[in-house]
Amino acid sequence: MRRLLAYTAVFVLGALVLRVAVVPAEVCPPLTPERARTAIAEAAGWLERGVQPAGRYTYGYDREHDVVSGDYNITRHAGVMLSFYQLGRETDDAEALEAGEHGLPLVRANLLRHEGWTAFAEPGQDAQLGASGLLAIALVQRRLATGDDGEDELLRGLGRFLAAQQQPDGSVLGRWSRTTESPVPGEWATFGTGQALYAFALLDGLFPGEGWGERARRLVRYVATRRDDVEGSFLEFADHWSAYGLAELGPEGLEEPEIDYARRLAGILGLNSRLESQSGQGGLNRILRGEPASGAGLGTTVEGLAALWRLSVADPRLSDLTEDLSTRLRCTAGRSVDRQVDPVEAEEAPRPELARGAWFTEGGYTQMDHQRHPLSGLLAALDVLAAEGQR
Amino acid sequence: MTFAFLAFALVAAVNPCRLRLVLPDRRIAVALGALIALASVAAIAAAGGVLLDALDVSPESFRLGAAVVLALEGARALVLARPGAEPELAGLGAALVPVAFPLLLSPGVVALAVAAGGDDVEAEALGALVLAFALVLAATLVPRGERSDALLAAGGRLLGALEIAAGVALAVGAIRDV
Repeated sequence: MRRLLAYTAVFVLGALVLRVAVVPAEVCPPLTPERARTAIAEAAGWLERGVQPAGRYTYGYDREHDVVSGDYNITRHAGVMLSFYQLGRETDDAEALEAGEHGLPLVRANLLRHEGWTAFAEPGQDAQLGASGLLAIALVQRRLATGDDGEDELLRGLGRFLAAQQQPDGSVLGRWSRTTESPVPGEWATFGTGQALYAFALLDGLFPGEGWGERARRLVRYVATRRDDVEGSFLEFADHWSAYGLAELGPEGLEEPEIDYARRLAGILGLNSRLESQSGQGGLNRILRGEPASGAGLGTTVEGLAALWRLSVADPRLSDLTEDLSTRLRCTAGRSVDRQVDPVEAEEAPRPELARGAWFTEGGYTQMDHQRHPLSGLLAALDVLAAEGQR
Repeated sequence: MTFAFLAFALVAAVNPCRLRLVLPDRRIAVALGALIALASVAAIAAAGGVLLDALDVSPESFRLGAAVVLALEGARALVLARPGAEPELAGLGAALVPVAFPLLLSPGVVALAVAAGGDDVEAEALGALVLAFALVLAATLVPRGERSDALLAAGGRLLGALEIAAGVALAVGAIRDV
């Protein structure tokens, strides 16, 4: 009897350890369109209040020490413009469009032109793939939101820079050196490749017949079949930009290797979503799972899941994923909304206007991409809710 | 989870070779114990989905947990190929203790039953378990002796290794699933 009790105790204890250490509860606050819209408006408010002279936006804020960051990053600048144009396009929000336009002077002051192409690069700095790719994406969204073709030549110039970085195997190098006046061999950009893919796909939609689609197809094949080996990723890289690119290329632009890749990407984004939903800000979960995802981490997960959800709806080869993608997306989007600083909580900060609508890290820091990614993600989540009959 | 995978994982988790070294000699007790264990697993699998819902755990996440259980249990079988003798209840009570519990209803079997319930493949799991228990009954036909015990221990180690492999496969699937 004693031995039986010992077995039972080991069984129960093992189940408890499993529960605490491996499968804690996945907490998924409900996501309603109203909550999503409020969060979007609050995030947009943070970014719009951050409009600064010379075309800049507020970069970051340390709530604990009440310090506004003096850093700046032109790639993230382009990202903020993208979110503004996405918001303007989706909701006809004139203030968002105006705030997006506010970023153009800084863009024009940081253009590098060489052999027919144009890159978004600070004076004296090498041209990074990601900054130009993201700016191209933002300007396509601008074009779609405003109908203004005034930046079309800049768009094509940015596309030509991305094309100049593309290698015969379809990959795109991450940096162009001012010193050697050539792409830097063997150096890739973590997010730049996916951004280039999305940019090529968007450019093909905007300017069909100019060869952008062929570049996108070569790049997506590389991403789907060789990138992780070549660029050294152990697990599948949770690349939301490639998810955008896949969705933009759509069923007719994707063959079986890309569909397999879309499944793997959905899997890793789903895993991230599940693990994040198990994380907590304190207690054992904090020790076992580390710091909860930042606003940027939450937002990019939602963006990636939403893009793959769109693809799964359009492509019967992925239709079995639609429901699960929606479930994960709702969960992470709901958690994003919960983690945002609301107006009441913001009053406790030294500068409430820099806290309201923001997502802070555990250390009390936030920066522009912590707001702009959840904004873009929640906008995409609204589409999912609407398509599923919840407006 | 397919029937083939469940059969592979459950045979490894039940580990007929290793069990043969500790099962009572009375075949009727073993058969009765297998029926009790089968009924218990059916109940656990049927409640698996509800249980996971109640615990706010997605089936994909639970499969990761089940994978950990399989890996640990497989490692134990690999290291301790000859389990110690289990105390028995008298008469047919041995069907309950130790045959049904703790020998057949091992942590790995229970974890796979819950996972199968979460994935709505209870019938496949029961079918696979019938196969595993049939192998246990077949193993009771193997006469005990120095040479056969050594072979059974080696088989137990092999199945332990396969249980680890099943755990890894389950984990990879859980990571790749949305």
